[in-house]
Amino acid sequence: MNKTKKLISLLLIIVLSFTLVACGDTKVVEEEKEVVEGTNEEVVKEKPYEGTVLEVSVAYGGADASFEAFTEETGIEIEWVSMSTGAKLSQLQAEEGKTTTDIWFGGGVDSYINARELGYLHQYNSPEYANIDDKYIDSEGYYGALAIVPHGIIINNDLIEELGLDIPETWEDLTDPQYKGEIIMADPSISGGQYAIHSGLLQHMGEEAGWAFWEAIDKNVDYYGQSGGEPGQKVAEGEFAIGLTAITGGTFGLAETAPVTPVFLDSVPWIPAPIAIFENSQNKDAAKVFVDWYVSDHGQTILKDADARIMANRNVEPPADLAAILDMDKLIDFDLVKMGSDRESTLARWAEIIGE
Amino acid sequence: MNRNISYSSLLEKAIIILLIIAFLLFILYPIAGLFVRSLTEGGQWSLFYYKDLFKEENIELIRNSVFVASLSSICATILALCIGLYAHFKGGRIRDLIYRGLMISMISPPFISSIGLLTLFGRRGLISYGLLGLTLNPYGWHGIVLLQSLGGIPLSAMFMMAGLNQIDSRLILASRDLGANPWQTLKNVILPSLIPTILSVLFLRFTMNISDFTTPVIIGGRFNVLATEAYLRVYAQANLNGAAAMTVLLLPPALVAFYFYNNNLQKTNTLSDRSKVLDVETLNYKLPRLVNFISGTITLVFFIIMVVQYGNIFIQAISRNVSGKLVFTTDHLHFFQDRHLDALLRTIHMALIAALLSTLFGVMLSYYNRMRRIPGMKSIEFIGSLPYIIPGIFFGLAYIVVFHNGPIKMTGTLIILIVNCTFRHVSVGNKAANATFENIDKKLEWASYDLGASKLQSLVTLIFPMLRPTFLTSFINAFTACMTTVGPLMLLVSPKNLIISVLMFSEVSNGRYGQAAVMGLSLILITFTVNLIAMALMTREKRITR
Amino acid sequence: MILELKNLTKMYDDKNGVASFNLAVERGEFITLLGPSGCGKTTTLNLIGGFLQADSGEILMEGKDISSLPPEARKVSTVFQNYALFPHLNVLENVAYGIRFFRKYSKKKALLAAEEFVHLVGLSGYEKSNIGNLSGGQQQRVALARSIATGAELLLLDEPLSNLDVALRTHLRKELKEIQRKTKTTMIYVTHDQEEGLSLSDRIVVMDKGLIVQIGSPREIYYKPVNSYVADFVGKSNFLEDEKGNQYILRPEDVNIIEKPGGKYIIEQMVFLGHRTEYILRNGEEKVEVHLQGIRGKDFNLGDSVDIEILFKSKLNNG
Repeated sequence: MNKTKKLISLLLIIVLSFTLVACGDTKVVEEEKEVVEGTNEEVVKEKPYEGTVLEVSVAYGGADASFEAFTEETGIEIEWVSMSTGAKLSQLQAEEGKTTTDIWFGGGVDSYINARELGYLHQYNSPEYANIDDKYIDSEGYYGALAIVPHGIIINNDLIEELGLDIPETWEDLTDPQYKGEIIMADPSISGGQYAIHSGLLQHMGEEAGWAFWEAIDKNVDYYGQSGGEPGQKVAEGEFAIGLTAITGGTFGLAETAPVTPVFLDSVPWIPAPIAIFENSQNKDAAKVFVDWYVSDHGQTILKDADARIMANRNVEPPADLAAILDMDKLIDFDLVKMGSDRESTLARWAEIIGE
Repeated sequence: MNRNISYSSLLEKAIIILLIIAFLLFILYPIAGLFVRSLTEGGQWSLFYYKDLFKEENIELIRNSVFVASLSSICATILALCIGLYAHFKGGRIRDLIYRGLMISMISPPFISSIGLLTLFGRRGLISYGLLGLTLNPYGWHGIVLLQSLGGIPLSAMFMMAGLNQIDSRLILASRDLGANPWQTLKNVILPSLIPTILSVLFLRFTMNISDFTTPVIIGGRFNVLATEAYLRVYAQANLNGAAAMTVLLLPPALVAFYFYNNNLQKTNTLSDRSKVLDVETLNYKLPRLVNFISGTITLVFFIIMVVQYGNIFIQAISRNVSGKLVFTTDHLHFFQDRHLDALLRTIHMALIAALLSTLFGVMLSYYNRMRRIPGMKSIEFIGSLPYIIPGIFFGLAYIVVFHNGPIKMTGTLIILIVNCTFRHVSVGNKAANATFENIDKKLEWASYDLGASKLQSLVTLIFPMLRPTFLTSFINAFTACMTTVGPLMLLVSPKNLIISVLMFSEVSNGRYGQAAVMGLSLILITFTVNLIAMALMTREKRITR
Repeated sequence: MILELKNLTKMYDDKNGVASFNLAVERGEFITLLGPSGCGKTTTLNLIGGFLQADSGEILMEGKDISSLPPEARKVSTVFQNYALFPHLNVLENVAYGIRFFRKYSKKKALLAAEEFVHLVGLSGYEKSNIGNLSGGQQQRVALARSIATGAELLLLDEPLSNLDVALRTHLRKELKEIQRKTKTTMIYVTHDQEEGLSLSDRIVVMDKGLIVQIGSPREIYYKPVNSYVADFVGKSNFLEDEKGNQYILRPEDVNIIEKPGGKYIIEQMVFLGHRTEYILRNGEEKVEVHLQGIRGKDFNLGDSVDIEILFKSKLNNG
């Protein structure tokens, strides 16, 4: 008897797990059915890819809030995962580009450059790229741009007051010994954003002055973060007074819940947030619709609402929050190609500095 | 009759062959594939990624790794020993309570603990700064040691309790009878008898710690270790081959530690005759006062930290921090319900299947190796322990490398997650079954054959029922592990097969603690429920066999 | 008097335990606690050893109450049923353990002193042996040596021979008695084997359900059992009742079979064991078991009608 009971309980577990499989499966099937019916009834021209599911690898904080609008307007469903571009590139290399993902959304442009060279990206010159400055996008159309991400610092007001620190106004200010141990920045070899600050300031200040600056700031930094988002988080938690960071809608979001303020310094390094279609995508046509939508005036406005950034499309006004503190003229003159090609030598030299 | 038996033995041969193929295909092949990849550069065989392996910075990294892993392993072992001693000799309900507490604290994924502890003990932590006015700098090797030690305690303490339980309590009586006081008895009998357990805990911790990259990433600061460096090569620099090469450096210390762990685990089970073990309740042995005080305090502090940590997760899940004030909200819950419920169901589904399969494979492997001594199974068992030893992220990568095309194309599916989890945790069930088989008389099986049962029938009707408690415990452990694993799955997920633990890691890294906390809570609740059910089954089992 | 137990009580629940146990043990005496499992004999031993705390009552050792002392402070030593040898120590170290802690010798001196006791139990040459490599009998000797080596005035032995085979058991029984004679140690021995009890003891304490049923010399216990329980426990017995309702116990070996065709008894069963032959005779409802030693038993066959001759019978106290 007792044996039977135990067997039954074991069976129950198995059945339960298989029921779950079944549940998951049925759902998918039902969805597909609905979709099929939908295409027949509705105007085919408007939503030619209704029901297609696009897989998106996202490295663009807050972007998911815009997916619903896209699906509503185009009928294309989105499945997405948030993954750093470095990790995605590793994954791509491991599977030799045979990814099931269709779209790469945001993140570090250097990974896109790499992926393009490895042949993982699909060439697509969206007609909407006409509204985007050439320096933001790949000249051959392997990747486009969604937004411009300006970089500055985030300060913890309470800590600044408590420690009696001055609010820095220039990058040079950060080398002042009063900030010793209170500055956090990400490791540029890990964070594409931090590398952009690095490379940008080197280009802007000139090699010699630039390196002198980085050497000086290293003396004030005890801790190098392991991701681009970490300095903002740690400053908001009050772990550090000042963090070097990208300033996006998320940064302003932090300011709503923590005593922090984003600040732009005398010059503003930036990087574009790119977008690309994977060469292995099985839904390239739908993917093109996706790219077109997201770089169009309309899509860009919705994406801006999801996460306030300076959009790549010049027809879209910068968000009010940012516009209030950012003087667009301060954006540095930045050569992205040079940034990409100098990466190895720059990081090697940097490793020497922090190694000391 | 004869035909029946030969059919059955044929079936068994098929099962054995399938078992071997499964282990070769899903463990050895991917790992080999990854290393072969790391030995190529631009399509050519090359030692490119290995030539710089022994440069000074890496030697430094090895030194750091070994230093931190040793220190945190020693700390965790000592603390776990204290908790184990305290719980064991308190006995009764306190012991059960501590055991259950340890089980629950095992559920929480390590990076969630890190964040909890940072909010409590960070430079501006609620306790360190808010309460005590201290500005602690947790970043650095001491932070890693603290977190790894704390994280290692639950499982280690449970090992210690099991080890203590195995000591023939008459030895303790004999020692006192021969004039040794409690302290001398502890020093001369209890601790020496526990040495195999202590060593295996120590080596297991070392293996785990040296390949742990999440803790050093979160709290290491400028202090780098090998595992983190390897992880960053994958995650940030997309230097897959270089990272694989770096794991080669991680392997020797891990293998050595694992070898000792394995050796000692076996000794634990052969030490003494268990037939005449007295209940602690009737043993009338109390720990020496000082030891009792110290270990009691450690136990209390550990559980306070756990309570605060779990409380923190709970509060994070139902509140929002607005300008330094907590405001309660159900937003996170609603958001979770809308967005991630599918992923949660998928995760449960994956973990249930993987835990079942992994337990089954582990037990079968143990059976064919330990009971039947089928040649070659010993090597298969070693292969089975590999995924446990190598850093998780590489086991994930290895799967991508070999299963992204060809006849077994699995990338982007839920199956790849299930298979990966199954084999990653297969040694859990394997080890547990090994321990049980040590105590099962092999003649029982002969008796069964003698009574006319085929080998397969004996396995199903005799061995499996005897192993039921083992099945349940390893199922719980494997399930918990599958629900909370991130490392190997991090790169295996695609938009269509997202699972909660990976989602949670990405929410944490994006700073959305509220969402992460809800996910953490859901994981904890589900794992806890499954544990409770399994434990209920187990206690019923005990009652019946008594 | 070395040990006195006064009203010693330890109950686990309503039924199990020991109740109002009274016993006085003389120096050098060999006492056996005899009874089936669950009768409380091991509990009594553990109370004396200090592994259990009594609910009430006193344990006086040389006149001093030791019942609140921990085991290590009592001048008694236990030989455990499974020997409880320390697996991480060798033979000599095991024996030295008690010398070191009980007699407070330094480790070095203790090891030296231990050699004598290893020799006493006939294990010279095995000093450095691993416990796991010894046979059951050898382990038993180590356990005995270890306890004697403490110099304890009272040795408690908990079924020390029960894990051994019969031949070895008989052999070690003699050895144990010899060692006791040599060392003049007082011993309290727990067993459920009546042969051990009868052969070793100066006095036997027969226990049942936590109570003492009878205390006496082996002969008293065997030939003058107070009731059928005792009688049954220490050997095979026939019970007879006379006209007045008095019960008598009759040992099978104290009955003789007389060849008498047409006698009242018929031989119903016969088991030939060589050194003796066991018969069961029947007279209507009445059954009598008779054991005939050696050659005396050879003449009778199943179905024979015979008569019996009672050589000795003993009157029971209870009705």
